Amino acid sequence: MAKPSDTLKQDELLRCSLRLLEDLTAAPGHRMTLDEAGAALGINPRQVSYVVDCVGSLSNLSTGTRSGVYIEHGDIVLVGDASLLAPRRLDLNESLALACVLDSLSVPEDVRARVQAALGPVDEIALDASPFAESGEHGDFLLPITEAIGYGIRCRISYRSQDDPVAVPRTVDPIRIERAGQHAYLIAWDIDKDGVRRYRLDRIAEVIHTDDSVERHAEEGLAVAESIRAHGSIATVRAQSAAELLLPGWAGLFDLHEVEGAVEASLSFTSDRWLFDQLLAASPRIELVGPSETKRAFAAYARDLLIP
Amino acid sequence: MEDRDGAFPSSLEHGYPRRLLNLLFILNTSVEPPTTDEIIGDSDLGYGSGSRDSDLKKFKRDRDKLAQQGFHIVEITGAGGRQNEQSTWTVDRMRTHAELGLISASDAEILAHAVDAATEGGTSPLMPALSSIRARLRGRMDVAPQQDAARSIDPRLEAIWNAWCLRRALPFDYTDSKGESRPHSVEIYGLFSQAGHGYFVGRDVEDNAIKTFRCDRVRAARKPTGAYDIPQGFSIRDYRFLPFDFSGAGLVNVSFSFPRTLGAAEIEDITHGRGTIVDGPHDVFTWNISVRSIDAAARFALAHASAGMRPASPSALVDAWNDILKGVVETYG
Repeated sequence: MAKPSDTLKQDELLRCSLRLLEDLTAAPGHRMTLDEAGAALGINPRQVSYVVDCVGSLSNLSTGTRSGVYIEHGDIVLVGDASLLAPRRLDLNESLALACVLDSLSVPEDVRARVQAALGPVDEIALDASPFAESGEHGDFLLPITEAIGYGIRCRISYRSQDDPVAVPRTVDPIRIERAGQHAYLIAWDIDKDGVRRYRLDRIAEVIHTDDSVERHAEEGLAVAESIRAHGSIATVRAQSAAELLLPGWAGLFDLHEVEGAVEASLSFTSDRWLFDQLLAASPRIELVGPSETKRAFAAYARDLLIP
Repeated sequence: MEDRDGAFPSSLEHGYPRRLLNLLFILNTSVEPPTTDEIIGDSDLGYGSGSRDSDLKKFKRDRDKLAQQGFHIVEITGAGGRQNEQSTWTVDRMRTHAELGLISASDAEILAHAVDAATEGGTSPLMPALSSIRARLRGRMDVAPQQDAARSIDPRLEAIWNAWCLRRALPFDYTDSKGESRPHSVEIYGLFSQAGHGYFVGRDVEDNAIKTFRCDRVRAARKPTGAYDIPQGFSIRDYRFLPFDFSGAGLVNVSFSFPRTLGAAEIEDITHGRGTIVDGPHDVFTWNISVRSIDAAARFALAHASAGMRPASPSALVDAWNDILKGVVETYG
């Protein structure tokens, strides 16, 4: 019998007991380690023993049936059919959460319909508006991209870079998804450019799986910031405080240091237009210190944007 | 029949959870559905107090408690509707259990990837629900375990999610962006993710105002108390903030334009789904929205200038845009 200090509150015991029976039903050979069960339930191994103590004591007098759940050599085992518990449907709140995620990732409607029919509550109440919202940084093609990464599939993507007015086609070997600042990126090997590039997910307009497999390349391990530095240019920027420079969340910012009562830093960038847009939005709090030709180009860019 | 230790298990051990679990066990393993009297007369099960009314009420409470956990127990009235025939009870399997056969292996994989993508980083306020859903796929339908099997959930996200599910106000201490801490009690109306952070929106009980809070700035969440309803017409989308929302000034209606060649996903990422987008003149979309700061709105448009975003109206917005640009031309030209 578990010590009182390793027991659970009654609502938690009920939740954990039901969840343990479902997990044991689904587990290979209906067997799990105490650690696996603890991780799944969010409780410590002694509390897991307390839960097993509870579910192991279940019985049906009229049929003489006993629960077949017990601990054996550090594993939790379920024998027989009596304690098998098929997975429950989602409750309304879980169903709303899942619907929000599937909608934000543009999961096909037919898949959503099947998932709802299989998992959703039978008597779900339709709401006027979802109480949840997911950010749009994943774009519309995260799932086929994830599949390509998992299976090593070369892809043709249609992508609008910072400097392109419209999306253009590229052939890429997807490597991984990475988040930097406010956006999520596909890190991939660009076959035509023969190098690692990053693609903002919300700017990918199409993804087609080819019949080819990806090839592995040495630069694949570079993080977003390292990739920018490897392939971009560097500008020097200045503000009154480090906080001002850090506020935009630029992945390519590095080497912050004080200069004459202000703070300067280096900023890696792969697109002049990206740099200029960022500095326009932050002007005059963040200044462009150099290089000189970048400053001249910045002024020309700003002049071209004036609205008569 | 004795258990391994020679003593018959008592329903008093582990309190009411064991009684509910055993009730479910009996319903799942009985050859014939048990009658009401068989259930409420079973002292080993935890009923059989001697008072039929008391046991009937306890049985009703237990069914409600199991329903909260997703197990629906239904009454089967006498076959043929014969008078005085006792009701029997069974688990409503259609309402209770998922029909996994309706999902293909490909569907399950898509579902797993979607949940994994949404829970990456561990900051989504939907983590508690999504982790539970992901766990139900584990080991089923040939879906691999979640890569980070020990992806623990921030207890603050659990507290926020549970309070929202229960529709009970959540008391907590909160440290704002300026580093100032104070207690709040909030009736949570909705949850959203933005730029890698989770947020919740609700009525601050003390101030009687709708506010937005960042989940990772919550300190010391306490037990939720005080039931509430979410107001009709509340839309979480209206609270996905943009840089021009932070000002004490009143709202001003403005318009921006986007080129029609810009992708829908990119427009959604810029606008956060706020305001309205309509067909505009000359191959553009027009985005209409209310802002609290014209200067911040102009800067927001400049941050997306290379995507083709431009201020359209009112003239004050266009003037603010031009003023910033003239300043840059003057400084660097």
